Amino acid sequence: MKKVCFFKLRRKTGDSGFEWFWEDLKPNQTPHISELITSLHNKGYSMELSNYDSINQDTSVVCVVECIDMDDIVFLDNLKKIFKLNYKKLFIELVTYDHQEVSVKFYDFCRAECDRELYFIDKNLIDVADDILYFDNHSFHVDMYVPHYLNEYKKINKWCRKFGKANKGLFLSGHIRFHKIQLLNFLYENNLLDENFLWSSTDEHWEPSLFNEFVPQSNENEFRNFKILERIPNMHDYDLFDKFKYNNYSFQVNHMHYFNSYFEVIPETQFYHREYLPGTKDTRKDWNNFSEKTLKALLMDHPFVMVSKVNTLKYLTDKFGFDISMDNWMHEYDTIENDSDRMNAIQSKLKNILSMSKSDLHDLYYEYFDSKDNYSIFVNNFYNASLTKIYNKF
Amino acid sequence: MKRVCFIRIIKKQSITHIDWQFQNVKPFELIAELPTSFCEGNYPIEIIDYNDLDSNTSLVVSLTSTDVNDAFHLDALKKVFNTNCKNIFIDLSTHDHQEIPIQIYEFCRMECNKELYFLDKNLIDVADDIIYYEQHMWHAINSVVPNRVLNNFKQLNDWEKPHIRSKKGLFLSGHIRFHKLELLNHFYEKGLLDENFIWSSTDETWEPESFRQFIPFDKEAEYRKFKILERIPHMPDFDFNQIKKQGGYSPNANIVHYLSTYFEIILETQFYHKDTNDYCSTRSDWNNISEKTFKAIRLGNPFIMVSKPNTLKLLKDKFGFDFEMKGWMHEYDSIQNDTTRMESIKNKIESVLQYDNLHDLYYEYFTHKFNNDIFIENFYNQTLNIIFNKF
Repeated sequence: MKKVCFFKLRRKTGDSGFEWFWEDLKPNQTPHISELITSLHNKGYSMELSNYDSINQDTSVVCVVECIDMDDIVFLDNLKKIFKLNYKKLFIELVTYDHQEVSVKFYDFCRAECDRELYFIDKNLIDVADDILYFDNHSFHVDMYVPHYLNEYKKINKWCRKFGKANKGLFLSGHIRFHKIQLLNFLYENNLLDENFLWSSTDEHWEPSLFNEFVPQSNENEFRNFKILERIPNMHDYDLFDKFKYNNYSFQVNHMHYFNSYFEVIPETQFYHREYLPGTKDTRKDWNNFSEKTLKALLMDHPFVMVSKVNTLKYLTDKFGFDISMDNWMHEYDTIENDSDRMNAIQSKLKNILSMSKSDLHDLYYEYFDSKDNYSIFVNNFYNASLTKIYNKF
Repeated sequence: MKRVCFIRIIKKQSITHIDWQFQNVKPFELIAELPTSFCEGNYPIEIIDYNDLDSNTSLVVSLTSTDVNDAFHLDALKKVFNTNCKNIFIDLSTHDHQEIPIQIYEFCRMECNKELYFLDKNLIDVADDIIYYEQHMWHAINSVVPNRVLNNFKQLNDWEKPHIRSKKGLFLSGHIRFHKLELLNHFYEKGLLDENFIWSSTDETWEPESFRQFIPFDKEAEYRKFKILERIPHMPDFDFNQIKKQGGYSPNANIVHYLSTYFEIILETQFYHKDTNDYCSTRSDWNNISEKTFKAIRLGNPFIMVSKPNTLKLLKDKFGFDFEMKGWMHEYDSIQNDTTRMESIKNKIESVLQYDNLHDLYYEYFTHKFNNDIFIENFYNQTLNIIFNKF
């Protein structure tokens, strides 16, 4: 039986600035922030769970880091204290709090300070180093919520094969990140949006404090000239019961969007590489991750066009075996290194798809839907395989 | 075990003459909903061939025509009445006859000297020898909304509760009958159609030979002025695999429509009474419903009925259907005057479109109205029992 201790290193605001504290984690206690331990527990991985106070040299320690602040000396001191505990192996878990584009300085600091077997768990698809293990916390959520109704969805979708779908495409933009609004605007200015898409987007009033993270200052002039601004926010199924229940929320799949469209435009979090842009976090060229947006399309076996960093789909197919192409549904744009060229290729691709008749798209959609089983690939190669790799390291 | 023979009378037409022939009907054949229903329901029935009829056998004769002016047809019926059998059931439902001329009933009663019953789809109790039967009941359960699809729908519908639906109403017009286009045009001219409804309609090129039946001569001038004509045909989910596969078509329900809307406007075949003694004529003592209504009942969808007066009252009184709750009443249903009823329906729909609690109202109706159970027990099974007990 493997002994494992899961705890969080959390930050709160105290009288004299930020204070750091640890908190033991248990399976299923608060499932939204204990996805790894809950996944391992619920899937029957054999573990004896220890408290932080009873860690010893036989215990693997998984430390979930809430906030990565390399300028906070107290944070770094707390990390050092953890490195000095008496444990078997240490796993710095960066997934639960959805850390993306994590600075390499953080990894380097940990490697320098920790003198025992050390691993990182993050959601970077690119294999950067041997001590980094892949896990995506969204796996837990989609596997918890989607499968209950996936069969019903698939059966009704097959039943409705004889009926045309209302829209050609689905484009749920979510936050107003520059590349998303740029593409939305392209479709809008070419009169391709309303006619063809079920679409949504927030505007600047949705989390306004993050505006420059979404739209770097260097892009702001171009952004302000986008005609689509006159049409956003467009949030037709937001805010019914609470403001978090909107299209892109990972705990909910609005099946109607998938019933009513033949393909999805997946605008992932990052697209353009960014460095030294004021008010905006740098992106890493050796980092690529995807979100619940992609997982939903994969699980629903919905054809899609990916708006993300270069080679995202190559990683999904090479690393996990996802089956997302067929003869007449290819992703040539995916490998184009230059971001602007890739965006142009995506725009051409969309124009091309939209020039197809609904009847042809209908046949193409069902050819894709009937021939794919990405849910099985998700469960076996993506979710379970990631967990097994981590478990085997304990 | 009851002995029953099911036959149909069909017209055989050659260059030289027309003949009416008898054809045995077996369960699970096409257009054999009644024997199939009995068979699926495990009723103790022995199916007898027409040539083996005897005085212990009930004979069910489905008519493909109700033409009382065709002497050959009437002769064929007379032959039926002279057969040696226990009792006779003239089935006028299987071939979807509606607004049947009363002469056919009178002819049969006069010519038949045995125990005689009629099976038809008239909801109004006109005579004791007429038994209600609707062949669409079988289709509703087996192909329009099969149980497996219904169960999937219910689960998904529950799951979709947190999401606002894309449209308020569902308005599948089907054939261009005057009352349907009149209502569609009303909402179009008021700018309420596209914003609020998933809607569809054919136009004159869809079964053009029936145009005069859809639009009576005296309504044509008004019809030609409808602005909605510029927008039809509007068949967003028609014609994908074959021309007959359209949203309002009876073989299947487009479940996505029901997951995307909060209520349905059910446009039944007849609305305005017409006493013209021609093929447009309707009977004031006839009222029937179709697969359009069955879909809404099976799927627990709130609806507004555009049909003859008292359609919903008949469904409630005769079968116990429960279509009303606070916030969802059908006051218009009992209005006898067709024009006044149409105005009341227009007002009702406009009022519903202004509800700000349609989402909650929909789920309250969907959760508390169990009309599908009534459909199975009181409507389908009970109807079959009544017929079976007469055999």
